[in-house]
Amino acid sequence: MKTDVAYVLSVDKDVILEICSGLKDKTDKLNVVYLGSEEELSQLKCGANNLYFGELGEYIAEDYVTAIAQKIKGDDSALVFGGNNVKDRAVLAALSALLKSNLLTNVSSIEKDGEELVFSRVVYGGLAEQKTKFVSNYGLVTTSPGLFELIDLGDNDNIEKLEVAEKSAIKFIEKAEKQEKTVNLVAAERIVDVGRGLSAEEDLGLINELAAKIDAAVACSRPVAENDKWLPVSNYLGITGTTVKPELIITVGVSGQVQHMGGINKSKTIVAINKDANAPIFEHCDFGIVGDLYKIVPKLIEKL
Amino acid sequence: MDIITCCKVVRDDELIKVNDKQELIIDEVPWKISAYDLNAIEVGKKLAEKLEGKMQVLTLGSPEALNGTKIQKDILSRGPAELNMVVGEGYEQLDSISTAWYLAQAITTFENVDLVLCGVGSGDFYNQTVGTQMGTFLNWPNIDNVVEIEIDESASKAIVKRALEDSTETYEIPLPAVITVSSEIIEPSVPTMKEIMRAGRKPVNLLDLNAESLEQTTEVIEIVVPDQTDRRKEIIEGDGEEEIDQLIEFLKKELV
Ligand SMILES: Cc1cc2nc3c(=O)[nH]c(=O)nc-3n(C[C@H](O)[C@H](O)[C@H](O)COP(=O)(O)OP(=O)(O)OC[C@H]3O[C@@H](n4cnc5c(N)ncnc54)[C@H](O)[C@@H]3O)c2cc1C
Ligand SMILES: Nc1ncnc2c1ncn2[C@@H]1O[C@H](COP(=O)(O)O)[C@@H](O)[C@H]1O
Repeated sequence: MKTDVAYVLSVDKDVILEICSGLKDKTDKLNVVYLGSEEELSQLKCGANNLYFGELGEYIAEDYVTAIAQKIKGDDSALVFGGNNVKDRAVLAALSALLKSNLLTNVSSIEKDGEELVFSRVVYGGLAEQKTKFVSNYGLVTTSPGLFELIDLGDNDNIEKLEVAEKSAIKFIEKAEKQEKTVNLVAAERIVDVGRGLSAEEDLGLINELAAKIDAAVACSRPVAENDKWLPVSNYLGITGTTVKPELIITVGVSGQVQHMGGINKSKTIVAINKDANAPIFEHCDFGIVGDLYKIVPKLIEKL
Repeated sequence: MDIITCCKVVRDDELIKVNDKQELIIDEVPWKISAYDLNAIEVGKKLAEKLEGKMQVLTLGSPEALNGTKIQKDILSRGPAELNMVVGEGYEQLDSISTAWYLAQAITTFENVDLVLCGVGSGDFYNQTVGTQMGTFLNWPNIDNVVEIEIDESASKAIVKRALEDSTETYEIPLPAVITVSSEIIEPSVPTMKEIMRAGRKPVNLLDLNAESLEQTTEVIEIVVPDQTDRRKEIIEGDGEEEIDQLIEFLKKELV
C-alpha cells in the first residue's frame, strides 16, 4: 500500500493511532488531524509529519471542516482516512463534498493491486463486497474498527493548532452520556441472541436466565434495540451492529435476515429457536428447532 | 413549513439471491422503498401535520426502479403530498457523492424548502453520507443521526438530539437545513385504506435538472460474494418434550 500524502482525521485518538499504524512506512507524508481536547494531545504519538489539532468545546467538529479542506487542498493529491464513528463520518462526508471526491465508508479491507489501492466495503446488507478504487486526486475513506494492528509510532515532527476558518451555523447546546451497561460481546465465548420473536420486555427475564445458566452474554437484533428499545443499541448484532465470533450462539426468535447473519456467521456453532420452519435462520444454523420459544426456553433453563 | 424527504428505491434485499457461481442474481428482483427511508418519511409526515406544512418526497433512480405505478403509489400512500423524481439510466447505482450532487441540484428547483430529511442509510449501499454531502453542496447547515427533532412555530430553527456512540448531543440548527434521522427516531406506520386510495390521485413530477454531472472519482472494480461457512443444518420440528431433549443433548455436547 503506497500513497504519497495521507491525512488521518478523527475525534477519537484511538482511531488515529490505529490508522496511523496501518499507514506507517506506506506514505511519504503523514498528516494527522485530531479534533478533541488538548489534554489528550500528549498521548498522540503517531509519527506524523504534521499533527493538526482543533480544540472542541467552544467549537464543534463541523466548525473545522473548511479549514481542514484548505489544508488538504494544499496537497495536489491525498487520501483522507477517518474512523467509521458518527462524527468522523460526518466530517469526512462534508470534506468529500468540498473536495468533490467520493467517500467510501466502513471499509473492511484495503489491498494493493499493482500501484493501486483497492478498497472493499460491504453492500446489499452483507450479501456482497464491493471493490473500488479512486481515479481522482483526492479520495476519502472511513475504516471499520480493528482494520489495522497497533504498533509504536514515535513522535510527531510538527504540531500545529487549527484555526476555525468558517464557523458552522449549528450551535452546540449540551451533551448527555448514555447511561447504559456495555457488555463486551466481541470477547464473549457464548451468546444468547434474541429477536423480535420475544413478545414483551418482561420476557427478557427468561433470556437472561438462560444466558446466566450457560454463562453467556445477551445480544439482540437491530429492531429489538432500536424500535423496542429493550436493550442498548450497542448490543445489537449484524452488519451495521457488532460482529461476533463466539464458540456458541443460540438465536431465539430471530428470523435470520442477511443483515443480521452478517454479524454472527463467523460463530463456530449456531443454534436456532424459531417457530417458523421457513425462517431463513434455518438455512444458516448447525442445529435448529422449529417451535415456540416460550415452551423451549423454560425447559432449557430447567434442564441445562 | 415545506419539507422534502429524500427516499431511495432499492432492490428488495430479502429477494436477492446468490447462484452457484457465487454471483448475485439481482436483475429480476423487485423494487421497494429503502427500509430506513420509511422512518424518514414518517418523521416528515408527523412534522408536516404538527406544523400545518407540506411534505413531499424526492427520489433519484433508474427508469426501471421508478416508472412503475406500484412503487409510486406505495411512496405516496405514506404521507407525502407529491412525489418528485429525478430519473436517469443506472442512477440507483451512483456513488454517494454524485447522488448527493444531483439531489442538491434537485432541491434548488423547489420554490420554498425549510427542511430536507434523509434516512440513516440506503438499504443497498448504506453509505450513511448522502445527507451530509447534499447539505454541504447546498451550503446549508446539516446534521446526521438525529433521534429527536423539535421545530419552532415560525420554522426558523430546529432543536435536534443526535445519537453518538456513547452519548447524545443536542444542537440548535437554523432552517433551511438537511437533517438525517436515525432509524430509532420513530416507527413507520402502515398506510390506511384511505391513504392508499388517495395515493393514486397525488401528483408525480418528473424533475428535469439540466445539471452538469460530477467528474467520476471512484471506479467499481467488482462485486464479490464472500464464501459462506458450511453449517450442519440439523433441523427438528416440534416443541414437545422429545424435541427439546434432542436440543438439550446437542447443547450439552457444545457446552463441554
Ligand atoms: C440497511 C439495513 C441494515 C440492517 N442492519 C441490521 C443489523 O446490523 N442487525 C440486525 O439484526 N438487523 C439489521 N437490519 C434489519 C434486518 O433487515 C431485519 O429486519 C432484522 O434483523 C429482523 O430482526 P428479527 O429477526 O429480530 O425480527 P423478525 O424478522 O421480525 O423475526 C422475528 C422471528 O421470531 C419468530 N417468532 C415469533 N414468535 C416466536 C415464538 N413464540 N417462538 C419462536 N419464534 C418466534 C418469527 O417466526 C420470526 O422469524 C438492517 C436492515 C437494513 C435495511
Ligand atoms: N437515490 C436516492 N434518492 C433519494 N434519496 C436518496 C438516494 N440515495 C440516498 N438518498 C438519501 O440519503 C440517505 C442516505 O443514503 P446513503 O448515504 O446512500 O446511505 C437515504 O436514506 C436517503 O434519504
